[in-house]
Amino acid sequence: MVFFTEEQRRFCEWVRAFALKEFSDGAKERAKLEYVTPEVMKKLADAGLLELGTSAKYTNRPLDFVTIGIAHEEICKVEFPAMIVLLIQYLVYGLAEYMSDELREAVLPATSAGKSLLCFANTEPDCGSDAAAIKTRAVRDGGSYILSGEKTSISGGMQADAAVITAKTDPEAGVRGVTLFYVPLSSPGVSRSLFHDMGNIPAGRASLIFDEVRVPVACRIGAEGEGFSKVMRTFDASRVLVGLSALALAETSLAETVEYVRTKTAFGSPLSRFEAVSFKLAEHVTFLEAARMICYKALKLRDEGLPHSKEAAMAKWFAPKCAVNALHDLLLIFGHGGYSEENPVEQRWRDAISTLIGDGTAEIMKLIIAREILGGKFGPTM
Amino acid sequence: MDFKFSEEEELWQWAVKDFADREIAPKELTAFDRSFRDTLRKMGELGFFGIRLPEQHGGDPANWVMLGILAEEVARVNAGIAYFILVSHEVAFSLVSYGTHEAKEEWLPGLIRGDTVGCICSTEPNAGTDFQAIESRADKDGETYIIRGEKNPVSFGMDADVALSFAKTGPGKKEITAMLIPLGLPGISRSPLRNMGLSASASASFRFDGAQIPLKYRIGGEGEGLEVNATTGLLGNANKIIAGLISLGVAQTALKSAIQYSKERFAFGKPIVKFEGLSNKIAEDATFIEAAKWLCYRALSLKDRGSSHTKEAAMCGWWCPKIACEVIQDSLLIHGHAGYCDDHPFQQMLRDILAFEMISGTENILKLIIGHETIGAMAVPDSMMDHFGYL
Repeated sequence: MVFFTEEQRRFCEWVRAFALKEFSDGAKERAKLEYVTPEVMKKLADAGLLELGTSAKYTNRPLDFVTIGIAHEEICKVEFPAMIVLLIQYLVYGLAEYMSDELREAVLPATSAGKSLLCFANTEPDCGSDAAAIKTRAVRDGGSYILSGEKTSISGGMQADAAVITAKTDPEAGVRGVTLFYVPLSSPGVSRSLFHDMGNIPAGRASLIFDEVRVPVACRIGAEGEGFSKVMRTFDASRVLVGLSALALAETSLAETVEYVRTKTAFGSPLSRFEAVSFKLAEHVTFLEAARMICYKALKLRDEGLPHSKEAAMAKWFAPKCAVNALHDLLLIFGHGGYSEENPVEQRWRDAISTLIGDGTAEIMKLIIAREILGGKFGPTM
Repeated sequence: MDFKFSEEEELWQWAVKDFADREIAPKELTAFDRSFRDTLRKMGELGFFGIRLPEQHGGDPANWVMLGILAEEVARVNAGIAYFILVSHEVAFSLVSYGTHEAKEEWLPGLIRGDTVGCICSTEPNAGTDFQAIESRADKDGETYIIRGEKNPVSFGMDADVALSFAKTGPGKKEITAMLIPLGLPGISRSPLRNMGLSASASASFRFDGAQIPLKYRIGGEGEGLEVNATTGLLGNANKIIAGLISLGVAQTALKSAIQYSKERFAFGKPIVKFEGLSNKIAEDATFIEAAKWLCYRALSLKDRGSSHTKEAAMCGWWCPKIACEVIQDSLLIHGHAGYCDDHPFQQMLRDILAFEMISGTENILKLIIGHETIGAMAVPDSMMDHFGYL
């Protein structure tokens, strides 16, 4: 990447080699499991990749967003299921400064050691993209809060030891009534169930039901009513990271396809000699590269403290779309071999579709972009 | 110009739709168990496997358009069974067109009744679209052919009773001969393949290791295999058109469900269908389906009239599955995360229909056929000239 600094370039080389060495074996099989294996978590932790925080106050290893993006892209090229772990760690570090000392000391060491997995639970059955419409309630009762409600579509939900959830402390106050809580999922009153998804299976997407779950006040993250803004602040970056993870899937299959078309022959010549095949590869390389540029530009803007909501929204709809389109065509280039479970491309395509949906649909992203370029007054209304 | 079905075709459509909704839709027919076989027999009673086959063997003189209607309507509820109707028809039609009298007497009635399950052994590990590259051999030995080789993937292979297979009977690229292989003979083994979709088709890998096939089961003359496969088999025009209609049948079900859901699901205080970004997508998808469907039925109607339809069939073959995938993917995404899990059929539909993007030859080959028909021989790469007419 032309604008990586020397340090970012070195990190990129290191993390690429690390991912290939540690995760190449068994990646195809792990992509079908319904959880992220403890071995994968431990390897990420041992390499220091589970403390991808940007604030020097809480991590020994403060990083810029571009470098965090590099980590996502390079790890996901080999071990896509790690995305969910990396994203959650990033989110946890983003919220660290709002945690009580007690909570921070309980959470950070265990998660950065890969011993504990968290999940982030905002979506509810009646509100996905519309985050302000949540119905989960948090009622103060002396030194604790009582939480009730249903969260759904929660990545990592089945495996996580604890959840960071959004709940309304003041149902009348709209988005300003939303507060964040840390909830150990072993608490009485918590139940969960798994969705059987076509892809990103190790994320173990789940429904979480909170039936009068009691947590101490120390588990509140930030002040009452500050939840929504804190969550929104992390979304711009996580959208880009999802985009880079999606591109990673396509980039790996693309490299494998290049090898394949050089060696596979039909009608007496390698497939690569047919323009119908090679031009398709040329097109997808172009799309993937363009999408990758948008992703890193958004992260660079964030590093520089500049507005980047528009670029993050572009990254979130465009990168997954390019990845899914590329993987679809790559699968077809492999022919029946691509359709078989022997070839990892079918699962990568299925995985990539999940990135079209999670963290905000394309429609919401286009709405954000349209409002940015047209102005809120002229953009589409909700 | 008359863009409508005849009265007979309309009645047929109604009957098929009724059967599909009553007998196929409620069952989870994903494997060839007893209930699958029972359903096939019921379909046989209604004439689903006898279209355009001789009446003396239990067939029906109906037209190709009616085969298209059948495939489309069944695919609305089950793509695997619709695909089986196509494959079974290709086995039977090859037999009718090229088989010996004895072979017809022996196999046709069962195929038409839905008692006998057929499959086609065409593709090999090193020969798919490049069919002339097959390596399986059939060597004559007195009154039999001794066959050796590997075939995969073979749809419905795990459960088939009989296969229409192709093997080389001489050293030349074109010396391919077709034959029916009763799959109970010694010297034949099969193993299941794990694919991402279309599990109802019980895809298999076959190994022929010296099986002896009586000469009476040869389909067409020696060396006529290329023609058989290209006219009545997997590489024929009918395959491309019917595979297209199957994809569209599935896509229509997906779109219908997305329309329903978008009226019921609320976001930001209104049904999501009120958002143009979403309703325009539905409008686009409906346009694609309408255009593609008439492309298919026009091609079948040309076929019924005995007119050339190679170009039109190739158009159906690449475009219909492609837009079907797009429509299904849109429908899945309209359902959001709910569409992504197996509570809903979309993810399975999408995985199933991807197979149809390669079942009738790759998109690239189909476009070369169209290029050949519209531009002329100049549009064909020199190395492939030899294959035209057999793709």
